[in-house]
Amino acid sequence: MRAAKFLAGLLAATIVHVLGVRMVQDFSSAIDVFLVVALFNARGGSPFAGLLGGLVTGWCADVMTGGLYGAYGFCNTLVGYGAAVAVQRLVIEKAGGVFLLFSLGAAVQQLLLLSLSRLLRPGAPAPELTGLMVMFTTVGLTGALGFLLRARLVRWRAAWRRNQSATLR
Amino acid sequence: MTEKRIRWLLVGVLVGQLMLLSAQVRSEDRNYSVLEASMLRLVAPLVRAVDGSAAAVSSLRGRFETRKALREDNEKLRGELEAMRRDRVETFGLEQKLELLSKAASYAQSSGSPPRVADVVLLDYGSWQQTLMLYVGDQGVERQQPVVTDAGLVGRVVVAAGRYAKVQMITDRSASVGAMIERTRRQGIVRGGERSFLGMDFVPLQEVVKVGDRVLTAGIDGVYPRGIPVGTVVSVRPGGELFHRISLVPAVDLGRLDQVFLLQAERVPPDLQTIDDASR
Repeated sequence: MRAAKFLAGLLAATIVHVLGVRMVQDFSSAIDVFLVVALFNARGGSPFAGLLGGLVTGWCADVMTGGLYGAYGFCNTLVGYGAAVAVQRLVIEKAGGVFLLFSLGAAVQQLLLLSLSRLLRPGAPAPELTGLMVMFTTVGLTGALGFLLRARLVRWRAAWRRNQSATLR
Repeated sequence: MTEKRIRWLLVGVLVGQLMLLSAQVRSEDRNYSVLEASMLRLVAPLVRAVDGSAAAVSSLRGRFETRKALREDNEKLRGELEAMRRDRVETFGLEQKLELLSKAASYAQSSGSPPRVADVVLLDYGSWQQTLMLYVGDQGVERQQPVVTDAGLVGRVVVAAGRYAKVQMITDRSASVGAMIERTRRQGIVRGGERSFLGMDFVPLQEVVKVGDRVLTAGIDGVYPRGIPVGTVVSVRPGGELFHRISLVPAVDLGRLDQVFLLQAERVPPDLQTIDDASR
């Protein structure tokens, strides 16, 4: 079930990315949808799931970008694993915490990506600072929004079940 | 799985990926791995399907919007058609002249095989890591095939995966093209520069380069045929030592690609290839 959810998320991310890039020129500079999926996956699972999710989303992101193949795979693996370990050790039960986790994840990913591309290809281009800030914010906001929606869905489902059982009685 | 094992797995995965990355860097000619080609084969059909659906939806919406406008245009065009029929008689002489010229042009064309059309399925020009993914059809594609439009050079194929290909655009920082200034025939190397600009290196200070000069491929790099427009000079500054610092704007608007043409790669003859390998 977890794997199916993850694959559905990955499929949705691919569709959103392709449509987003088609409609907005700077879409991929503004948000990394694959990272969002990796972080959601890491948030709800073990470090192993975080690692694996990061690896797979990273490889998908690598196909969609023109840089060296494996750079996103490397960064997302570390971020996915790190986020899963952080979630295990910290109690993150508020939207603000989730926002921070996702934004920090995006910051670490971009930092790693930049260091890696500078290390392997001196003189490689760098993203603009404004673009990075926008990305940290959008990834954080998407994470917080997802968290709030999920919480509301859980509450709504619980209420629906209570109503059902009351009707049966 | 225990925490210790997961950590070892993490280290293994990271080291594996670093090896994959460094294997690509070691090669000047951007090697690609089987993994990259396989992932491209896996993901690209989905990308193409999404892109196709989006195009179909927007075209359907466009059809409704333009239907009314078409009716009005139809009336107007009928009137214009009459006038054009009269003009047709006058242009008959010009047509004959054009036919002669086109025969001469095809005779002068150096490339043996005609260009092939490829559809753009993913274009991400806005990001700092630019991406261009193509659907090339059943005939497949080879690495190093030049990618052009009617306006000029786009780049070259760096990953070929069945019906799909990934293209390195000329604006990519690691891309370089052997080029020449059309007016003076002076050769240099064009590289990807800041954002959407290109830089041209190795043009000596003695050479007079003017803003507005057109730059074409020189056919010296073993990839691109000679004479394809690369860009136009937008600024010339004296460089640090012996060469100009020239900025170009690409001949093609790379942010607006829909269909492109694939040319046959200019292969280095086998004898020269052996000499080249030995010198490396």
